[in-house]
Amino acid sequence: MNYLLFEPEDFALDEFFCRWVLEPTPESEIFWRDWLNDFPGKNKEIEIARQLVLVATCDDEISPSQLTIDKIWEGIQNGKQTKVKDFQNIRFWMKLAAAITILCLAFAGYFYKRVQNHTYRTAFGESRRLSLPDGSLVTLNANSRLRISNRWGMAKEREVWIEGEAFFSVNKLKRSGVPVKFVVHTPDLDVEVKGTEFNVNTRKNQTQVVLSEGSINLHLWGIEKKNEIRMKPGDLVDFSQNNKKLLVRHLKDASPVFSWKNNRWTLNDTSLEEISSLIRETYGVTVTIEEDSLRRKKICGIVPTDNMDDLLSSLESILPITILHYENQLIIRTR
Amino acid sequence: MNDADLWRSFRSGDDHAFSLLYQSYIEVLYKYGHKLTVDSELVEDAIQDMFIELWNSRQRLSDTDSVKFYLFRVLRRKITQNPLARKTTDCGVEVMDQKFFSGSAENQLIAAESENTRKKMLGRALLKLPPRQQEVVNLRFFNEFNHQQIADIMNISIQSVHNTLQKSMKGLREILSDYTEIILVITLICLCK
Repeated sequence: MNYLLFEPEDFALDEFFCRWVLEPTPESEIFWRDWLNDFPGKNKEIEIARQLVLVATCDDEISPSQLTIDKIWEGIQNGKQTKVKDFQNIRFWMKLAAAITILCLAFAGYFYKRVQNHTYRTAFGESRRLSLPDGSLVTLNANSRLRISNRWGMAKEREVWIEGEAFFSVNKLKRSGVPVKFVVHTPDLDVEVKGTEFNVNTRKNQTQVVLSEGSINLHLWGIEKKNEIRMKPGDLVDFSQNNKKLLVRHLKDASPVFSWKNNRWTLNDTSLEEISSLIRETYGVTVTIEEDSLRRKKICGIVPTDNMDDLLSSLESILPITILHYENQLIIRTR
Repeated sequence: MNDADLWRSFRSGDDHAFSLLYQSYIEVLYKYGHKLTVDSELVEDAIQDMFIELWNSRQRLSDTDSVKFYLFRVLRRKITQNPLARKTTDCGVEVMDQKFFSGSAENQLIAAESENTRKKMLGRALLKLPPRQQEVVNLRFFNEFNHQQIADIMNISIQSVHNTLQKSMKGLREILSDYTEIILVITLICLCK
């Protein structure tokens, strides 16, 4: 471990250093004393780091009172399912019959709901990982909707409908020896796959498909001839049914397209205007850029998107801008 | 009895083991819960529900390497999935209490006399961090989870854990730099004791 390059924060996060501050042992005591002798200039950093550890480990929350502890425990005792002992009691059987009736009704309701409501939604600023009944994984980006076929598991195909953006990691599935297709429907096209990984984005009134692994077939809507496209890994297809615009490109590295699912955006000469529309779609806020010259400013780099404030502050550190944040409104101006 | 044994006895229906589990974790769970919401009632309800569900489904539970990790993960899910918890995340926490830092130096020394007061003061420095950073610091330093466990509990990437920790240490350092002298004095007093 090269401690020479460490800032106080790094020391504080170092396991060995932390142990020494909290529970020094003869060994760690010797190590750090020697180290400080060798690098006396580091005295101040070490002292700051010690304080950080002491503050971080201190207990800042109020402990529950004994009364609270007892109250919760009592609630737990009351909620525990108790064993039934008296089987002869007629009231027991009546209760059981009533319970079974209620249970049946509940089940009926549950299945009804299951069939009815096979839609997953995400709110602004929220992304979600879903596991489908066949084990396929879907990461749903913010402000998106995924609907699953009501006949999932019975039909020949596994069908889903997407609005917004999602990354699919589809499992291969065979039923009585025959591969079962997985089909993603969008307003512009169908994506047909057997087992592979790809990203689908239906924002901006068009559908964009980027393939990460394996191969997939697209079926474009609204075109008579040549409406089938076979995609290879790294291929990017943009298609809009409205204006029949089709764009096929090959990306050397497709991973920046999916980086949103790891809570970051990879910006590659992306203009502030494009970033604003990403922010709008992801967090559901309105964005106003005050000067026209700012719109065309371009950024390269990776920014965090776990929460909007972190994202905004990293944009502010990259560009000479100030971002004002009022409730659901962002205003971007030159600093 | 260690945690793993306790867990096994509890799963086989041992009421006493269940009560011991509750006793040993109630305090840390309660404190962690308060990092996720300021609503005490919500924290209490979530803990109560969690233990009821644990008991009622004990036969379906599997062995676990870390009981604590398991409980924290379930509790977090329970609290964050409650729609009422959401409104509290952006609630600004009271800025470091002035009464501990203003007043004469003499008063400060008197205040520093008691170990308890010192802890309170330091705790207030932590409360100045954003809630999410407080949560990570609580998991990493107070509850001593490793980065992977924190990532799993909070359902975020390990890189996010790392970044958030770095950010919180930086933030804490800035907060502390305003009060360095006072805290140095206090630390010295505590060391002399």
